Amino acid sequence: MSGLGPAPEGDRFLPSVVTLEASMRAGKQSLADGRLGEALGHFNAALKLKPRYDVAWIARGQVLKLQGDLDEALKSFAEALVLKPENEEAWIALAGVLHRMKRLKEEVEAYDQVLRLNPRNVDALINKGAALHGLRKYEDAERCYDAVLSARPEYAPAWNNRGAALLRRGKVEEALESFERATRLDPDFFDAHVNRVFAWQRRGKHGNAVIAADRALKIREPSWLWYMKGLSHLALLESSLAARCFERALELNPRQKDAREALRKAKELRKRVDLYRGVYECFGTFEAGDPGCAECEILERCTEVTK
Amino acid sequence: MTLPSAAEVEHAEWPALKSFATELGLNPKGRSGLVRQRVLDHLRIQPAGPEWRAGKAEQAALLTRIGPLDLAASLWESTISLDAPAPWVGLGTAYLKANRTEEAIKCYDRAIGMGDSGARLHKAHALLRAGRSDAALMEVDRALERNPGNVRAWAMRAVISEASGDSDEVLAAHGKIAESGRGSLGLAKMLMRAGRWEDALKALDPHLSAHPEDALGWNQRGVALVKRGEGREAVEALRKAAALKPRDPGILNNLAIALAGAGRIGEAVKRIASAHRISEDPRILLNDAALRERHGSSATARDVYDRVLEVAPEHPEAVAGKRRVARKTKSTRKPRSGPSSKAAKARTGAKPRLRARKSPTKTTSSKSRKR
Repeated sequence: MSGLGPAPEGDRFLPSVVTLEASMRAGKQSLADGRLGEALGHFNAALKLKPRYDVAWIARGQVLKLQGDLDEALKSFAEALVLKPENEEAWIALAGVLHRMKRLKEEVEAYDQVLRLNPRNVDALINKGAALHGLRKYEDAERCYDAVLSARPEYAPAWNNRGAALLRRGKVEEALESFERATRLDPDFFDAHVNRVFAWQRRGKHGNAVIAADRALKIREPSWLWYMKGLSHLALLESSLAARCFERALELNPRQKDAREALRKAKELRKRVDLYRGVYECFGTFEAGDPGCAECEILERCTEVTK
Repeated sequence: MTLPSAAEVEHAEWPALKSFATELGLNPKGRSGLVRQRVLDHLRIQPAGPEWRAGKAEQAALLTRIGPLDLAASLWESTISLDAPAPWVGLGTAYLKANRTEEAIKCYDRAIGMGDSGARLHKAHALLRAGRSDAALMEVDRALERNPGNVRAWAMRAVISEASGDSDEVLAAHGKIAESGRGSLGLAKMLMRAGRWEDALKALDPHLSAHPEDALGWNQRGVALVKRGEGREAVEALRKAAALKPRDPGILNNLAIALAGAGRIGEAVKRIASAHRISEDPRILLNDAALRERHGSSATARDVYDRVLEVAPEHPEAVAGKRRVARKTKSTRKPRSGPSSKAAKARTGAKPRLRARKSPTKTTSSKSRKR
């Protein structure tokens, strides 16, 4: 009768269960530390002990995705879904791999599966919107973002994505409003600031485009954004400032041909005209009735270039 | 500088917005939306300053002022350390406010033992409250031995002497304060109270040359000059006071009296009417009535006396004035032989109203009581 009764602490299960738990724990730790090879070994070991373990399949898929082996990652997530089709995490992970593989239609289907299980899954909604945007289905994408915003109106990426979809549909004013909301909710949202640059340039308001570019460049400075800013300065007849932007773009990326060409144009323009904005960084954005504009020293030139 | 809140910046008008930007060292030029954004960005990026939280000593000091005193006392007790006399002074003050005078005196003794000579003045105040004015005076004198230029101690001495009715000592204490160059207005007031108008004027001169904008100083000078019978100069001084404080009923009243003394009754009536409009003080009302009586408007004078009796029932001057006016009205109706009442009228002079101003002595002494 001595074999009956609870097992002593530390020896609760069969030896294989204890090993499985230890392998999973070690795998997760290795993944967190960035040791992907070791993590994969641990998850494979766990799957040898319990081949029908969906969590291990998902973990294995994540490691493979990080290693860049997208086909194997896809297989892993598919295995997990065969074992447990209602696993939202597995569907989202699968969709992520499909996105990396640029299989956008299947990605949308994967998100649809998630939304069938949970129609208010914000991640699935916003990612589905992004996939639809990639498929140029802007109206459908906008519907997804609206669904996200009805649940979470403070979610800045949804406002930004909505703005991007609206901009594609030519609704510049509404797009600008969306970008404005995104930047108010998250003032360091680089993508939203950049989208504002595009929207203002589309409207021909280059003064505002320069302001938006400046804000984005305070966060990150890719060469192409310097180039975009330079183009707006050119439109404002500020040849020196434009040349400086193109020079900076070429410093960051000497192979940027359009920046080189634009620099040549800016230097040519400088021979004819070169406006100077001084301390007025809002140059080119004149607004009648604004108290700051009323006392501005370069009001005349500002109104000349503000369209 | 203290950073404005984001809400303040959001709703700031253009001038305020520009001043925020300037004070924060930001560019204040450009479109308002952009300047606003600049300030908001600065607030967002700028780390918030360290948050100040009241420590036990600060809480105790606050509670000593606003109560509850037992809580203040226990907080002071928790701040007591071996080398700091201040918590003992605080504890003493809390006890004193709670009418535990003996315990307060013991606390002050501890602070004095730790080398805080300022605690002697607190102890003197506690002793004065316990009715031991001699002991209080001794404590003040000890404080003055260590520091003869201690204005607070001299002010305290003046208060204690005043309480014991020793006017010479009061004058001497105020004289010391004036000598130290820390204000001669208190001395002037005491001299006026003693009826020494010439000396009071002398004491007021340095004060007014140092503080020509002090309306109450000019008022005191005017009153002293009225008392000396120098009507024209008094009017001049009181006009200066009225120009500096045009809505002060006391100054307007005194100016009216001075004008009446100089024989300018019409102008005096106007001034007293202004004072009456601002304040219905019985003294001002009585002066108003007397001047109206002198001016020959008996009916108005009677109305004003009635008003005085409403404000201060059975005021003897008002009762007498009313009777006089009634008699006069009768005699006007039925002229009869006998001496004219002009002499009596002339005697019914309006009285100058000394400004009930807090003297510097009182102010400093009350400070010394508080921690």
